[in-house]
Amino acid sequence: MSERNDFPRMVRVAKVVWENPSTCTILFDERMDVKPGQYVMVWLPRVDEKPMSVTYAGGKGLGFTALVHGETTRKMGALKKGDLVGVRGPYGNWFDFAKAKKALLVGGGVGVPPLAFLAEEMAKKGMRSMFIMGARSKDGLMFEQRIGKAAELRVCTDDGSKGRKARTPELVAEALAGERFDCVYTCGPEIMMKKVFDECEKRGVECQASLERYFKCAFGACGQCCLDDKLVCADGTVFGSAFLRKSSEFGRYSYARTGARITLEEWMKHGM
Amino acid sequence: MARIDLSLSLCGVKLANPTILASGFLGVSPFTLERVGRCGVGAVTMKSVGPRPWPGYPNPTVVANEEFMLNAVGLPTAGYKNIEPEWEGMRKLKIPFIASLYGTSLEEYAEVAADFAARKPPLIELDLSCPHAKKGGHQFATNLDLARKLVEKVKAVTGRRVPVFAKLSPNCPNIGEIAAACEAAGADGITAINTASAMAIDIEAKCPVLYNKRGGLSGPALKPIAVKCVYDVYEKVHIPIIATGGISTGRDAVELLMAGGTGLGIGTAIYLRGIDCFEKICGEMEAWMKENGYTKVKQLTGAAHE
Ligand SMILES: Cc1cc2nc3c(=O)[nH]c(=O)nc-3n(C[C@H](O)[C@H](O)[C@H](O)COP(=O)(O)OP(=O)(O)OC[C@H]3O[C@@H](n4cnc5c(N)ncnc54)[C@H](O)[C@@H]3O)c2cc1C
Ligand SMILES: Cc1cc2nc3c(=O)[nH]c(=O)nc-3n(C[C@H](O)[C@H](O)[C@H](O)COP(=O)(O)O)c2cc1C
Ligand code: FES
Repeated sequence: MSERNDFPRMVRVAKVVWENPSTCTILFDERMDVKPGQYVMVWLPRVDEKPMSVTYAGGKGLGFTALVHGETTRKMGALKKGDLVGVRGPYGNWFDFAKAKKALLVGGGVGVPPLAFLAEEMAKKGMRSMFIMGARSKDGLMFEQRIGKAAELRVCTDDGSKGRKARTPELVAEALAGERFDCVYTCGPEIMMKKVFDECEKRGVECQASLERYFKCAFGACGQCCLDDKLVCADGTVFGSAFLRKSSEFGRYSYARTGARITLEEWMKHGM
Repeated sequence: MARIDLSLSLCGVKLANPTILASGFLGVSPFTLERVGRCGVGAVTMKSVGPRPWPGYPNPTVVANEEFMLNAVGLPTAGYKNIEPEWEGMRKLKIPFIASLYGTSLEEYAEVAADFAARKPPLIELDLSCPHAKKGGHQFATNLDLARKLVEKVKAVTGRRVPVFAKLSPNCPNIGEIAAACEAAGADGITAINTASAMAIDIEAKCPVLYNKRGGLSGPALKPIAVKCVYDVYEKVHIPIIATGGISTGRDAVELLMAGGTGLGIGTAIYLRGIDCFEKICGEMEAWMKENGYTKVKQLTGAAHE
């Protein structure tokens, strides 16, 4: 076993790319062995440390994509080439596609970046996949070209400003009715993922969902990120149908920073 | 060949073995505590509960390497009035639990303790090392007079209903005397130790790593400090000690028992060896005891003292 070190390591920003008006990708000149679905803890000294899904790894360097909305992500959006940022990880499990032949990927909002990475890895293995991307409006879409090269892309927006005027679960229902998929991979708001999972259950299709909670340690010690008896940071973030089916908290409850159990709606409102 | 008996009684509470999940690890929900319960632990401690909702500090709050863990979580709590579901879950556990609490003043400790005692948990633990105490952090665990007053005040509201353990800090020169003062004030047991004050600085960032800058050290690097503190406390008191700090193997466990522990608090080992570290540590203790001719875990408590 290699020596464990879960302290942040300072790395220099190599490039900042804006994917849409409110979302930017931060790239580092770093080789890190990361699988699609894994995340890193990103530290801005004296500000905060947040989990961020990896969207680029390997030859292109290491990259994550942040939706700029709160204090920390605003400061991420202000990063410039050469700035120092702390990273630790990679953490968590990953999307398992060893057995799948035909996959359906379903990304909502800032849940798209890890799935774009997954689509590319699947394409490298010669897999055929379909990618459903949803956002509130066209300004929330991202990586259309990148995903289009790796999968068959279908786009929907809540306001119809681009693609179909629909919500992602509707497109999922149609896709599952039209073709046979081995597995559905999803990442996005949990309420959306719950609906996607329900569609999968109706059709008897396996589903893997990458979930989000407030994280502290990221290595399964503090218990902050609990979901039933699982620790989302270390046992997840990707959970399959067998667990999602019997979970009493998926799609319903999360835990505030105080440790209080709150409904998912409340959690989305107050953030973490 | 005689069977090895790891069982013990802690103030009348029966434990299948001396390992106890330390407060602050995996204690956010009863579901995760129940999972720890399935990993061969003797008892579990809840995350410390405070008087009012408090979110704790921003991240980084917990970092670690193979030698130590550093944390400044900052005692986040939903507040004792908002943990009804936790109590329900705790009562369903198949193993005993320890209800941990803290306040930022003597009055607040008594307020939370009164509520706890009315619910009759098997054991109560007072975390005396609250870092945001009104008169300055850690004061209750490091000031002999305050520690005595605090335990007196808490015992006055809990009465004989529930045994009360005082959890002490290594950040003082006289932990033995403080433990003796707690015993004189009516404490039924001592938990020693909490984390040691510590800091790490990232030299590239030129900045302390923890958001709160100062934090607490746990894990292997804390063990020699814990051994000394437990040894000191054992010399001064007659009540049982939950020896805590840096235990990650069966040999560490035996060492802390020999220093004076009856129970063994374990936290950071989860990071190093996984949630099933309790099973592993018990197995290693048993093997060591077998090899060295011990049959009962009780024979080890305080064995290093003359
Ligand atoms: C495993 C994991 C992977 C993640 N990957 C990414 C990623 O790739 N890209 C990314 O941008 N974020 C990701 N996040 C979320 C990220 O860690 C931050 O929590 C989020 O970006 C908010 O950071 P902030 O400090 O800017 O906002 P805060 O200051 O914390 O919050 C600002 C506002 O945003 C809202 N808000 C905060 N969090 C959420 C939320 N989760 N859902 C809805 N509203 C919220 C709140 O209402 C709040 O008012 C991930 C989280 C996890 C657990
Ligand atoms: C992340 C973390 C959170 C903790 N929270 C608490 C707490 O809420 N109450 C408490 O009494 N001790 C708390 N502690 C201290 C532990 O219970 C224990 O005393 C200490 O970690 C030493 O044991 P160890 O080396 O086995 O981890 C915490 C420790 C850590 C690392
Ligand atoms: S964030 Fe600490 S256990 Fe998951």
